Amino acid sequence: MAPLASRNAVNVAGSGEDTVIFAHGFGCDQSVWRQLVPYFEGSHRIVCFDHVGSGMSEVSAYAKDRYATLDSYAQDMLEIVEAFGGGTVTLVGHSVGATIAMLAAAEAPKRVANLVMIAPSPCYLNDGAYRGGFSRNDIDQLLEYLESNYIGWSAAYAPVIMGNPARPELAAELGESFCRMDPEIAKDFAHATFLSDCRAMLPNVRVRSLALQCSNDAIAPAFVGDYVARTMPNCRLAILRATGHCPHQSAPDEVAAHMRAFLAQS
Amino acid sequence: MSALFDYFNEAPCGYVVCNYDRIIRRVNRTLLDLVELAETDIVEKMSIGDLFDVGGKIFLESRVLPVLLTAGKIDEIACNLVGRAGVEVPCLMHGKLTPSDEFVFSFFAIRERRRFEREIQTARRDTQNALERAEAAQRAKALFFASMSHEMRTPLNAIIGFSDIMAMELFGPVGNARYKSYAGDIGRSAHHLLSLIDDLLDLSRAESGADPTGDKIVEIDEVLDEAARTVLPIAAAAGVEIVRHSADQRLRAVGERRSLLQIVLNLLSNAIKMSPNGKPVLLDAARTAHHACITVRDQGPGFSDFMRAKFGEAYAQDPDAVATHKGTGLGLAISKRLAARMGGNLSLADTRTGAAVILKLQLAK
Repeated sequence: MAPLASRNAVNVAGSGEDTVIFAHGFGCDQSVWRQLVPYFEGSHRIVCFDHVGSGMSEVSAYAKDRYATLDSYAQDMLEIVEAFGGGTVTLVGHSVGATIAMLAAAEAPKRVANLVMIAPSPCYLNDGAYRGGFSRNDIDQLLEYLESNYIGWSAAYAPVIMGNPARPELAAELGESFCRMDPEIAKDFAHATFLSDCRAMLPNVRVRSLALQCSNDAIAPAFVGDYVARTMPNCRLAILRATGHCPHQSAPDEVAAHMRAFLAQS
Repeated sequence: MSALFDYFNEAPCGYVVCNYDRIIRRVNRTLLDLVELAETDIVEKMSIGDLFDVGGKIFLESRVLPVLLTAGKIDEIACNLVGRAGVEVPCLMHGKLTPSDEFVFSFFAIRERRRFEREIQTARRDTQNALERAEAAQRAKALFFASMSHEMRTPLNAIIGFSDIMAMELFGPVGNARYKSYAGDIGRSAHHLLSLIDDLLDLSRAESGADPTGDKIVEIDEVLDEAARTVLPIAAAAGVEIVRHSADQRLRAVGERRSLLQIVLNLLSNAIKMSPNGKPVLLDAARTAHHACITVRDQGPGFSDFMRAKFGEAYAQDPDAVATHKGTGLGLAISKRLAARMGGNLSLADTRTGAAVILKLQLAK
C-alpha cells in the first residue's frame, strides 16, 4: 500500500501547536480550501488532503469494495489524524467531508477535540419525517449526469490515471487541473455519498461540534442542519448569511469568523 | 452598444449570468428559446439550479460551482436544461467566474451529439460485457478441457493396459488370431486417442497461463539431443533422418526445460509427419546478438496460405489437409503459447521448399 502522505496527497502548511485538518466533499479536492486556509495559517498547523480516488490521491490505492461506504474514508482520515495531528486537533469537513469527519470524530474522541461541519448532511434521502431533500430518483439522475460526463472525462483523464507512460504531456496538463476525478470512482463515491445514512452515528459524537448551515443551500437544506445540531449531544448550529453549498469558497471570511469564535472558546 | 446587445441576444448559444447567491441576473434570447420561457419568468426569479433537473442541480453545487470558485472556469459539462412543461434539452455547458464575482454560463444545444454519445456509451458497455463473457467462457473452456482430459485418461489407461495384456497373451492364449490382432488395434487406437487428449491438456495448461516459465536457464544443446533421441523411432518408421548441423554446447537461453523439450518434440513430430520418405529433417540451433534461434526444417509441402494466416491459432486446421494427417493440429498452438510463456517467440520462416519453424528464446546472460 502507498505511504499515507502520497496515498491521500497530504499537504501540511502553516505554523502553530494545534492542528486543523480539512476534508473536502464530493466532486472536488483539497484545492477548495485555498480561500479559507489563509485565515488559519498563522495560528495553526494546517493539514489538507484528498480522499482516495479524488484529486492527486493515489488511484492505485482505490478498491471498490473498501470504499463502498464512508467508513473507510473516515478510517483514512483517522490515520491522517494519527500521523499529522499535533496538539489540539480540529477536524473540518465540507458536505460529505463533514460526514466523514463526523464519523472519524465519533471513533476517536480522545484524539479529536473539535469538529466543524460545513453544509453537512448525514442523509441526503428523504425518509419519513426526515427531509434530506432528495428521492432515490433524484440521486439516479445525478448518477446519470456523471455517466453523461463520462466520455469527456474518460477521454482526458483515463489514460493518465492508468499511468500511460507514452503520453507524459497529459500528466503535465493534469498537474495544473483542479478536482480531478476518475469517472468510475466518481460514480462509486456518489453512491457512497448520496445513498449513505449516517444519522445513527450523530448521538455518539461527544466531541465539541459546530455545524455551519448556509441560507438557500440546494444540497443541505435548513431542516438537515437543524436536525444535525439537535441530534448531536455537543453541537452548536450557526446559520450563515452566505448562500449556496460552498461558503468556504464564496464567503471564506464569514466561515473563518465563526470558526475562530468556536476555536477560541475551546 | 445596441449592436453588442444584439450579438449577446442572438449568439448561437444560450447565456446565463448569476451571482454567488445563484439568482439569475441576465439571460439572452437564445437561452429563452432553448427553455421556452419568458425573460420575466426567469430573471430575478429563478436560481441557476432551477434550470436543471435535480441531478443536475446536485452536480452544479457539488462539482461545477466548486471548480469555478477554485479554477475560475469549467469546460464541457454535459447537462440537461429543463424547459417549459419539463422538456429536457441536452446541452454542453461552459462556465466562467468574472472578475466582478459573477458566474457566466454558456449552453450549446447538443441533441444529435447526445444521441451519438448515448450510443457510444451503450456500445462501450456492450463491448465490455461481451469481452467479460468471452473471457469467462475461455476460462471455463480451459478448466473443462483440463478436467475432461484428466477424466478421459483414466479409462484409456485401463483400455491400453488390458489390450496390451491380451495382445501379449500374458495369461494364456486368446484363442483366435483375429481377436489377438483386434487387441493390438484397440491398443494402438487408444494410444492415439491418448496423445490427442494430451494435446488438449497441454493446450489448456498453456492457455491458463499458470506458473509462467520465463525465469529459468535452459541448456539448448542438451534438450535438442534428447528431443532427437526421443523421436528416433517414429523418424525411423517414417524413413526420415534427423540431421543436426552444428552443436554449440555453451548455448544457454531463458526458459524452462520441459516446455522447450515439448516445443521441439512438437515441431519435430510435425516435420517428420510432413517430410517425404528419404528426405532429412534439419534440427539446428544458432546464436544471434540477443537470442538463441532453434530451427526445425523439413522438405514437405510447406505451410499453405491458410496455415500461414492462422499460424499458432488453436483449432486451426487446413481444411485441405485435415483428411490426410492425423492429430488435433494443436501442436503449433501449444508450442506458440509455451514459447510466449518463456518470453520467447515462435515464427514461420520463408523457404522455397518445405516448412521451417523458428523458435527464438532470449540468450541467458
